[in-house]
Amino acid sequence: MLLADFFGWFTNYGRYNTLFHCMSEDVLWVAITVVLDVAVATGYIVIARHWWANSRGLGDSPAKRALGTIRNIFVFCGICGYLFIPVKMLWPAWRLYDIVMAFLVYFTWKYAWSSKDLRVVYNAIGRSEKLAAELAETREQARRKASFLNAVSHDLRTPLNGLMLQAEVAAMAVADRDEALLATSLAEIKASAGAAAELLNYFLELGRLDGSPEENKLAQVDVGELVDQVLRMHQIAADAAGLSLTVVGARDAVLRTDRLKVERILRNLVGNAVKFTRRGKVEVRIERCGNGNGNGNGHGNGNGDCVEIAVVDTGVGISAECQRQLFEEFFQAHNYERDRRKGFGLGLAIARRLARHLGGDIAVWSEVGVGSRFTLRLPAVAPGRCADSHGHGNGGGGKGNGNGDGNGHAAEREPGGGAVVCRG
Amino acid sequence: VLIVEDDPATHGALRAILRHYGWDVSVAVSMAEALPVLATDPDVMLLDLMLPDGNGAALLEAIRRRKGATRVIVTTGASEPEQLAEVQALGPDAMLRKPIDLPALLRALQR
Repeated sequence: MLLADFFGWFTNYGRYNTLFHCMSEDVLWVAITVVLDVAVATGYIVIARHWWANSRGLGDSPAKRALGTIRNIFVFCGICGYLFIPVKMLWPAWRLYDIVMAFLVYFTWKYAWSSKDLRVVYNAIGRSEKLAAELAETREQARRKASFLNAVSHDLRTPLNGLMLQAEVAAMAVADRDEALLATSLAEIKASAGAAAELLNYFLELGRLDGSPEENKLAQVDVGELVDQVLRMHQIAADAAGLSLTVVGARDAVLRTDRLKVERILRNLVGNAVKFTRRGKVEVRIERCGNGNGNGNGHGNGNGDCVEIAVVDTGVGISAECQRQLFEEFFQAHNYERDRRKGFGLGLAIARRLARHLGGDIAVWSEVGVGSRFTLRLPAVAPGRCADSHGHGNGGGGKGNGNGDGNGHAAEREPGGGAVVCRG
Repeated sequence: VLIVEDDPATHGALRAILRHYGWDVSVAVSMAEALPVLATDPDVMLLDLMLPDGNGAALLEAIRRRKGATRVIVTTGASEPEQLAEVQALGPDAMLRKPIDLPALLRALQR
């Protein structure tokens, strides 16, 4: 066959085009063209689906944007290809076109098949994003640890500095037989040493809570009685400031939790409330929460899923900005002069850790000039192991849940020995 | 000497000690208290950088601007090398790390 004949056949000898075939109902060739076009279009759709399914749910990142750009280039080329169809309809070389289309179908489907590998790429992007986030988190932790240590070091140096200088003063006072000076310097030494010891204790406690916290020693805790006990500790300070300390709400609520830890949290919250309230009152509100509400047996003893103990004061309040940092170590909202006698800013950090360790948390609401409310929410049963009760269990199942759901969290005295058994 | 220091145990002790060694001592516990005293051009200022109402570095700059004869001894609780370098960059006449070593302080004062 002559070369001219070969090209002539491909170009229909310059006589016909696809439009001609359509008009002349040359079904076979029109069908071939349509099938090829549809096959390419389907391949595109498959690729697009793979792309969409794999890139979904990934955060924005440079790598993802780069892949998106590549995709957009392909889409653009595809659209250009389809714009070519009307030209093709009039192009006499329709057989050549169909051979080109056959190649296109082959490659489109080849890529459609392998485009499922996009998952690998997008997974890698997802992993690297996660790693980047983890790295940032680790860096942030390291920064916070460093600033924590810095603060500890600074806060230890300050009382230590005072101690050493006051010791010199004391020596001078002894040499000069100046008893008044000796007395004041000894008082300062005592205050500084106390501050250093207190800081160390807090520091050790934080370390313990972050590392391997003590297991909760569960026992029956009467919330009302515990709150009364905590309030009694702050009564003198409250009287001096002219504040009233009251308890309202579900005083008969009962928790199975670590009494010492709850007491430490409450002491901190009430202590803060008393410290930062000039006039008015400090009120502790006890409320049951969760859906176990009101299932009592007529005595109102139905334990909810959790208990909220809110310490509400009419004090100076805390700005929204400070509230965000409130539970960070060494943050003090009302101690810009960082007077160590006003504490170190570790109390709330410790309280929140304790609360979380008991399976609960502390939330804060506050408005400057109006007051603050710190809400300690504790689950009815804290995680941990059963401990010998110190007799805080009220002896008998009287506080048991009346709705017959079989929660035997009451501590009961055994008839004989007075030992308390904890029935988890 | 002007002592600018917020910790009461420290400034109390420094006041007693420096008085004992024959210095005329005044104490400021904040930037606000220190500024009026600076106007009297003390010979030496003993400056703690962490102050309740701002960084003591600003005081140091204020003194440099006055071009007086006041010498500045900075006391700092910082321990990190970078922080110490930052303090050095402020150009104090001497720098003492807390806890303050008394002989070193006296040497720095006498210079």
